Formats: sequence, C-alpha cells, structure tokens
Amino acid sequence: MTDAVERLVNLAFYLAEAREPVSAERIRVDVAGYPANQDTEAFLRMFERDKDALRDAGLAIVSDDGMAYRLDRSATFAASIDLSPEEAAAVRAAGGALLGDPSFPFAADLRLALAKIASTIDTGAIASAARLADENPARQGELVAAFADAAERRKSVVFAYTNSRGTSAPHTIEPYGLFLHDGRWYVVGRDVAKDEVRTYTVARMSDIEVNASRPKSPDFERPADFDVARFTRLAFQYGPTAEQFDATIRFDASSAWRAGQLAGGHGTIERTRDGGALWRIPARDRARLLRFVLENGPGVTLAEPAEVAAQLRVGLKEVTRIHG
Amino acid sequence: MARVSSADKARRLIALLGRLQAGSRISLATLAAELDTTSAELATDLETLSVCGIAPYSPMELVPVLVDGDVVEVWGSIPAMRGPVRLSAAEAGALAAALAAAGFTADDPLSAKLLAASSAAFDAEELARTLRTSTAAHDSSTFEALAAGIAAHEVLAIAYQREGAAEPGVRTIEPLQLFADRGAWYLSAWCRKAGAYRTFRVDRVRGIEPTGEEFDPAERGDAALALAAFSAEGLPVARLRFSAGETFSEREWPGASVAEECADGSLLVEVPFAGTDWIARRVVARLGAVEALAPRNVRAAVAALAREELERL
Repeated sequence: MTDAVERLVNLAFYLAEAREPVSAERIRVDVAGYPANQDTEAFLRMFERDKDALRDAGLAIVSDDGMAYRLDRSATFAASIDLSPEEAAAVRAAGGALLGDPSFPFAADLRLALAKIASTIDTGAIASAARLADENPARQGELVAAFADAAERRKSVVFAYTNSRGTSAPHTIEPYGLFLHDGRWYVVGRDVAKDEVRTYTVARMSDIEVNASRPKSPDFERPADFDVARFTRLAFQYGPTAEQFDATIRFDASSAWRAGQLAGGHGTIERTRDGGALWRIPARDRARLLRFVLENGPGVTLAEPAEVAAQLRVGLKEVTRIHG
Repeated sequence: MARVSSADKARRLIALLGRLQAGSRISLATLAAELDTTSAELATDLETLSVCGIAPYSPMELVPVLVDGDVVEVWGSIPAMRGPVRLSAAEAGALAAALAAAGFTADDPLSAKLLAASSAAFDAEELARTLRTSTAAHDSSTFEALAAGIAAHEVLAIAYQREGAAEPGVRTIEPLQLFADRGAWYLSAWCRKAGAYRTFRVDRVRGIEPTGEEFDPAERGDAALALAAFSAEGLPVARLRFSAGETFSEREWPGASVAEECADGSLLVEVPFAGTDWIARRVVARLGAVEALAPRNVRAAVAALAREELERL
C-alpha cells in the first residue's frame, strides 16, 4: 500500500512531468497512492490537502479554469544562485546560529530553506550561536511563532497580560506585527477593547489563544500603512507622551562613524563641517538619555536640551565625589 | 523527538531533491543533522523516496537513490524535476528573518540573491513592515568577512575600536566563532597580541585584512568555544552598590547577581566583567546612583573616567 509521503512526492513528480493541465480525476487515476475505492468527496478533500502541502513545499500549482491543474515551472524551479565564498559563509553562520536559538520562531522553515540551498552554501562547518531573546527563550520563540502565524492569517488572539506594575488582565488583539528589541520579543496590534494600536511584551503574556474558528477567513484587516518600525524605540524613548522633548546628540569626528549604528534608523543625522555629526531624536526619559550618551562615549555628548545636559555635569561631579 | 507529519516528511524530501545530484554520495548522518532528524528516520524516508517517481513507475522512472550504510548514493537523475524547488513563502520568510537578525536587510545584495530563488508568493516588503529581528549595528560586509575567515581558518588583521577607545587598534586574530546576544553580534577569536582568547563586538570592527595565513583551530583545543558565547565563567567580578531606588536588572548587567540587600534599601551587586573600561563606563553612566566598591582598579577607573568626561564638557 502506498503511504501518504509517497503519494505526495508522486503527485509532485506527476505535475512536474505533465505537459498539459490535468484534471483531478485524471490525477486520481495516474498518481500512485489515491485509494481506488474512495468516494469522490473524500478524494477531493484529500487532493485539496495534498495541493496545500505541495504549495507549502514551494511548488507553484496553478489552476487555469478551476478544473485542471498544472505546475508553473518557472515559479517552481529555481535557477542556480551564485554566491561568493564570503556570502556563502555568512549565510551558513547566520543560519546555523539561528537554527540553534530556541527564541528564533521560524527554525523549522529556516531548516528547509537551508536544505534547499545547501549546495550553494557548502562552506563547511562554521561555529556560530545566537540568543536573540534571553528570558525563557523557548517559550518566547513558541509564542512569537503563534503570533506570526495569527498575524499572517489575520486571526485575533486572546491572552492574559501582566503589566510592569504586576497587574494581570485579559486582552484581545488583532496582531499586526512583531519586533525584537534588546533580548525581548514584542507584539504590535490593535487592542479590541481599547480600540488602540498597542505594543505588548511577549514575555509578559500567558494563556494565549488564537481564534480557531473559520481558520481560512480573516478576522480583521491590517491598516495598509502599518509599519512595525514605527513602534520600535530606543531605551530613552519610553515614557509618557507629555514628557517628550527633542534632543540633539553630538558625535565628534573620531566617533561620527558610530552615529548611524547607534541611531538605527531613528531620528535624523546631520554631518558637521568638522567631520562630526549631530543626531536629532525625540526623547522622553532624561536619565536614560544621559546614560545612553555616557555609555556610548567617548566622543558622544548631549548638545540639547541645555538643562538636561547640565544634569550631566552635576552627576559626573557626584561620581567623582563618591569615588574620590 | 516529536512525530513528523506525512506532509512535513514529503516537504523535507522535496527540499532535499536539489541536493541529490546524479553521481553524488552524501553522508546520511550529515543530511539527518541538517534536517534535525535521525539517520534511521531519514533512511526510511529515503527508501520511500526511492519508490516514488512517474508513471508507469518502472525502475527507470523512480528516484535513483540508495542508502548504503551511512552513505546516500544517487546514481541517476531525479525524474521530472528541472532543478531545485524554490523556497516557499514561509521558508523565504524564515531565511530573510535569519539574515536580518545578522544585519542583512531585505535590500542587501546577499538577501536579494537568495530571495530571487524564492516563491513568487513571498513578499519581502510585507515581511519588512511586519517583522523586525535586527538590531544589529554592524556592516553586513564585516559579518561576511569574519564568517569567511572562520570557514577558511584564515588569520585576519582587524582594526578594532574597543569600548571607550578614541581610535581603533590593529589585532591579528584567529577567528573561531560568531555569536549573537540580544541583537549584538560578537566574534570569539584567539588574539595573537593578547596571547589569549578574546571576544570582539562585530560593530566595533572597523576594518578587516585577510592575511592569507591559515591556522589550525585544533591547535588551541576545545577551550576556545567554552570561553565564548554567553559565558561569564572565569571573569573577574566587581562589587557595586546600587543606591536605594536605583533599579538593578540582570539584563543590563549580564551575569550579575544581588549579593546583599542592605537595611537602607541599597543593593550590593556582583558583576562579572571582561574589561575595566566597560564596567567603569556603566558605573559612570549611573551618575552617582551606583558606586564601585571593589576591586580597587575599577573604582579608580570610574573616578578617572568621570574626571575625563567632566573635562570634555
């Protein structure tokens, strides 16, 4: 008796070989593995599942008129990829590191992607490791995988959330996107009860439940202009909106190379005539802004606002007094 | 190991097809490791593959693959397949996310080349708008050059600007491992200048010159990797006092722990550190809310750094 794996692979070969579109009934007769005594409805359900499985494997199965099927060969088979030894080594290093990181939520798909391009990145072993998230990484990885799937299928999610004050409450959100920041995964979505787009820390969630009803029908539409990048912030950008102010951070010429790295796409950077740079960035937390400037020195100073910069002098004098 | 569905097994075999070139002999254990399965399970799946093919399913139309001990042997061409199957949308998304975590954005030439081999259903722009795995600040070309050095066991001369230094210094290194910790990437290497293993932040590597000299990674022994990723073992420990009300978080001081909670609400914390400059900067940045109690050289470095920063104002 032909098993399901054999039937699926045979179907893939059959569609790859077929010269013209073929009907489901013809496939049933020609492909080894479809039970002869199966009723038509059961066969069609099995055939639908098989097509989905092969599409998940990368085969572009198209139906021109809804009655006959063919493989779009150019959309199914890849041309060879030409990578330099450096590029191949980079893919091997990054891929190997993330495969071993339980907080990376897409390891199963990544593994198959690397298997498909294995001959292109055949550089030999490269030692690499990753820990994208550091608090209970396996749990974060698992939850993010569920949220990513829900976001893609536009399914709402219910969960209990414990906020920074230790209060727990149930939430229902429509997940729009996910981001990783400083060892933690975050979900951005519309909180249905509050009717606001909010950011939630995955590590603070429990009892997560993705809406399982009508799995192929979306529960919501994501705003067309949504961009998760707008929700990522630097440490000194957290705090009440009312406390927001504009800061200018100065990089001297020897440190200007780091301006783009530290900005990470936030704010605007202007090069100065002396070879330095000015980074203009909204901030909300004064203490964290000063900490950021000092931790990234030397050659990095706070230019504006003057009253916040003045706190730096007071604080540094206190450090010398304590350690004097 | 969790049970793998028939659909996933079929997907795994289809992913392997591009690898099964006529005349090739591949280690079964290697393939099994790459697919995160056992040799026995993969051998069974490959036996199944060997009876798959196209009608009329005569031996000439079946997949010419044979498992012989630890070797997977392919003695002919795979029927019907015109080349390796493209990455599905999910596979392309996973690869793009992994590359992004290593600093390769969707418009990086490497990402673009790889994603050209993906299914038309994959939308790189959509992924960029809904998922961000990267906070890496290094240039992707730096990552590539370091990875290539590890792969080729090549000695590299790097211009490295350590934390707190105004200018980069040149180090000759034997690169061993790349690792990511909470978004930042690091390189573990044998530093010939220090005569010891060192960890370098990739975003502080400002230039790389391959030397053409090959090194033997076995020469340094396995201790190299034990010293590397995520380990604070063997590092000196500083004792810090966090004043009452100043937040202490292990996430901000990796490997640190509270040694004592004092009656006045302050905390005595022990923090492992690799470099005095690193810990001195972090203490100074707390602007008096954290005091370095010991060792003496850290305390002195904190005082000196605070004076330097005052002079710069």
